[in-house]
Parts: sequence; C-alpha cells; structure tokens
Amino acid sequence: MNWEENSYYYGAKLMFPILPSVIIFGLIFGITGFTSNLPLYLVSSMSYIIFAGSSQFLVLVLITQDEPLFAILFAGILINLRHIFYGAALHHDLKITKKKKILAAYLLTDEAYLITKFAKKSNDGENIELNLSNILIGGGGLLWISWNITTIMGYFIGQNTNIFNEIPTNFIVAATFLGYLILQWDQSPKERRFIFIIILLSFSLSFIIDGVYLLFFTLIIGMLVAQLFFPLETIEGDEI
Amino acid sequence: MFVILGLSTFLMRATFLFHFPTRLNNENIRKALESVPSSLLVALVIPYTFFVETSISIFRIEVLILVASVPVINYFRKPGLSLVLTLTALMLINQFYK
Repeated sequence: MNWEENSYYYGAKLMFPILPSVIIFGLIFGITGFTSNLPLYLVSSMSYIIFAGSSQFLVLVLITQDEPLFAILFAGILINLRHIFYGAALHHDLKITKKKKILAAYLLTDEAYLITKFAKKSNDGENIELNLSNILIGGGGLLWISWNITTIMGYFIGQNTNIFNEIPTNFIVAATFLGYLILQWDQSPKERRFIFIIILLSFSLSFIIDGVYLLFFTLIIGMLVAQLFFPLETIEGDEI
Repeated sequence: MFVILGLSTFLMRATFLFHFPTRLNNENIRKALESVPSSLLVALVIPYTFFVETSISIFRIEVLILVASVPVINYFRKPGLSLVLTLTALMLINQFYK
C-alpha cells in the first residue's frame, strides 16, 4: 500500500475513534441551539462558518444571555487564540501548495491537530512516508462532515426529546480527552515529568479561574514551564 | 458576526501555518510549541473532571466513573474508548438509580 496516496484515508482512520465524542458534541450543540430558540439556519451556519466547537458553544450561550456584540466577538476570538499555536507547530510539517494550505487551515481544529501530531510521533523511526497535510485534511474533512450533520440532527432531536439534558457538558469534555491524555502519558515517558507539573498547575489554577481563561493560561504557563522541564528530541531532518 | 468570527478563526489558524518567521525557529520556541498538545489535554481533562466552575467537587458519580475508567483505558490503549465507556456507565447508573 502506498501510504502517501492513502494518507487522506489514514487521517480519516485516525479521526474515527474521536468521532463518538464529536457526534455527541454536535448533537448537544444542535439541541442547545434549539433550546436557545435560535432558527436552524443560524445554528447550522455556525458549524460551517466558525467550525470551532468550544467557541460555538460559548457564542451560543452569550447570544442567549443578550451579551453585547463586541463581548461575544471578543470571547469567541479569545477562546480560539490557541489555534495560532497549532499553525505554528505544524508549519514545518506541512510542505504543500498554498491552495491546500488554505484548506488545511480551515480544517485545523483541536482534534485535527492532535491526530496529525500523533501520526507524526507514531511514525518516528518507521520507514513509511506519511503525508501529514493529507492526514490533517482527511481527518479534518471527516470531522467537518460529522460535526455539521450532527448539528442539524441535534436540532431536530431537541425538538422531540430531552435525553441528553442530564449529561453534564464537563463530563463529556473530560471523558473525550481522557483517553488521549492517558495515551500521551504512556507513549511519552520523557514527557511525564512535564505532564505531571502541568497537572499540578492546572489543578491549582482551577481554584481561581475556569473556562476559556483556564485553557488559555494553562497553555501559556505550559509553554513557560516547558523551557525547564520539556525534553526536546531532535529528529533527523527536523533542524532547529 | 459569525462571518467575522469564522474569518478570525481561519486567520489565526493560517497565520503561522503560511509563514513562520525564522527568528522564531529556535529551541525555546520549539519547546513551547511541542508542549501544546500535553498542556491542552491536561487543561481539558483535569479541571473538567474535578471542578465545577472554580469549586472542587470530587464526590460525584461522574468523577468516580472517570477515575475508574483510567486503568481500563490504559489496558486497551484505545483513546476513543474513554467517552463510549464512561458515557455508557453514566447513563446506566442514572437509569438504575433514578
């Protein structure tokens, strides 16, 4: 099998285990859109125009609370700031045309970034040549389709039932990414000291701040702490 | 508003994807960037598991389920299993103890 030609498929394959959480998130977002008394076209348009789950939820909540426009925009931009780092982290890995980069940038969500980085890490030392941009586009494309379809489905489900109303959103977020954190801990023994320190820091920060601010500050502090405790491995061909 | 937000999101994703200034290509910057996945995962798991807003709340069935699922997920090494397993457990417990 020519892995380079099949990397769109490989990207979709890597995204597949994440799909259950994406589907549930999409359904809950659609349900939330309905219960917020917003029309379907508005709710579904958020999923393909913004295409960023956490900011979509935040914007939806702020709209229903009649917050000023500038506050909604500011909050939405703030929660998406982490995407700047994703682009920077993948800059050297994606050697593609500008047109393809535009598509990759549009599809660069948390999940697409994670599977791309995971694919790169898993492939280190292997003889298989992977096209990481194709992996990102393949996985991101599948995510886009799933997210948009389930948003619409969730809206219609919201009209007819309330079975998801009792499941806390916090639980879904934690459950979704718990598996990946365990995998990261297991597959990166050199990073464990860094991960442990960030866990302590995140736990401490959680007493003071929450939501988007906690996410943002954890990333910033993590970057600073990384200077002391993060083991940078030099990969052949990946020059500093 | 959605268009502005969507455009800003796209620009944030695309900025450094298209052009990464050479002066940023050093060991410190790379360390910072490589730390993002682990930090992101921790930020999405720890506070959402043990806290409700800024109050610690560990005596909940959700916390018990998440903590109990760790050895199971570690054994199977399937990250996608975490949501399916824990959600199923939560819905079953809610159903039987309602």
